[in-house]
Amino acid sequence: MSEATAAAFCDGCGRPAAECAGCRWEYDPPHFCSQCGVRMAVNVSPNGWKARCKTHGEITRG
Amino acid sequence: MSDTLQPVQISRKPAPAQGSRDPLTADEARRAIRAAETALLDERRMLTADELAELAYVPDASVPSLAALAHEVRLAWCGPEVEVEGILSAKTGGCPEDCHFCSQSSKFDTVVKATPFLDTDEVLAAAKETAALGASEFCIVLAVRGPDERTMERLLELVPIINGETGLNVAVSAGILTPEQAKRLADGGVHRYNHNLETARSYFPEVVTSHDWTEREETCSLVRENGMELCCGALLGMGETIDQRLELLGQLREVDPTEVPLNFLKPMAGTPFAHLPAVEPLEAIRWIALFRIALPTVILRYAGGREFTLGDLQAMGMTSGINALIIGNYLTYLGRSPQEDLKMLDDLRMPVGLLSKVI
Repeated sequence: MSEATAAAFCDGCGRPAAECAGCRWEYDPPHFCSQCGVRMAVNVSPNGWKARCKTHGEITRG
Repeated sequence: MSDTLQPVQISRKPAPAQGSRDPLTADEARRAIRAAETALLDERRMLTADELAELAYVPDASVPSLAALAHEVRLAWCGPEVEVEGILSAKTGGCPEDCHFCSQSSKFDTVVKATPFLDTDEVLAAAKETAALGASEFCIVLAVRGPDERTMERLLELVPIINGETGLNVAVSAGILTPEQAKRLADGGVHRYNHNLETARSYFPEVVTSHDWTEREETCSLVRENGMELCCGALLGMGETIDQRLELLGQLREVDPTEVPLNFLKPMAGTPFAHLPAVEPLEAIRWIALFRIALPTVILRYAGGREFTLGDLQAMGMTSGINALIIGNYLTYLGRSPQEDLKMLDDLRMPVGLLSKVI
């Protein structure tokens, strides 16, 4: 899954994109899937992070 | 758990901690700082509680002078080196405790989804990331009340692997320990054990209700008794008063840690402290300096919330008494890039090195 995919949901709070233009702080990893708005399992490591949506797969950084 | 969360609204005007007296005048502040300089640098003695309390009330305009003293104290007592550490949340969320600042508590509806203990390969990969950044310490952090037997076995398996493959000293943060667990971790090669007091004893019941301050103090004692270095930190900005911060400094002196990680609250959506205002940047500098002045021998580490709280003043913290930092990301949120931090240290001519407590 790519972060560049058009976001239907805010990845900071899980609301539809029409209701939240993006509230995620620059130092927070995404916590909600931008495609379905479901909370993701996130693991942060010293030099990166990994977020997994059970439907839409994994996003990694670093 | 809800599918959405109300985002945190950060107060536009950060609020200072409440004090119990008026600030000193500029002349009084200058005299107090000079007296502290004489005590710490010439007489080489610790300040009394009354001397510290006076410094807590210097006016804002005197904070840079206080910070300059703290930097001199750090150089005189600890030397120029800065210790760099990486941390990893190896078991995230689902914690049964109710620490009101923490997004990993199962008691609150937060963004954090619980994940199980990472595989050995994943933990080792994170340790290798840390080593590649020039760190000397790697801390495995678990969101638990205390380790169960399965967790103990995993930790005791991981510590020698990480140490052997990366050369890093391995620290652990796994909550409240029994005497037997403390001994096994020490025997298993754990270099340093983290267990924070977080706040003053008198304020602790406002922060945590699922365990008490004494349980934390007891684990701190067990760590030292079993020969591990004690890492015991604080979290400022939870609504505590200035006098409670001073009380905490006295209690930290009593538990006698090797390292004190200094955290600033980053309000987490869904937690009881989500509404609290940020610590003002200059107030953060004041308290970094006071921690160094109160605890001249410790490794004083920049920890969570520094990007959020200090913003552009992060380099100033390094010249206000800090001599260690967490590099890269934190447990559930991100830090600024390691390259920025390493450049900051290089620009400040601060060598990265290994530290231990000054005796």
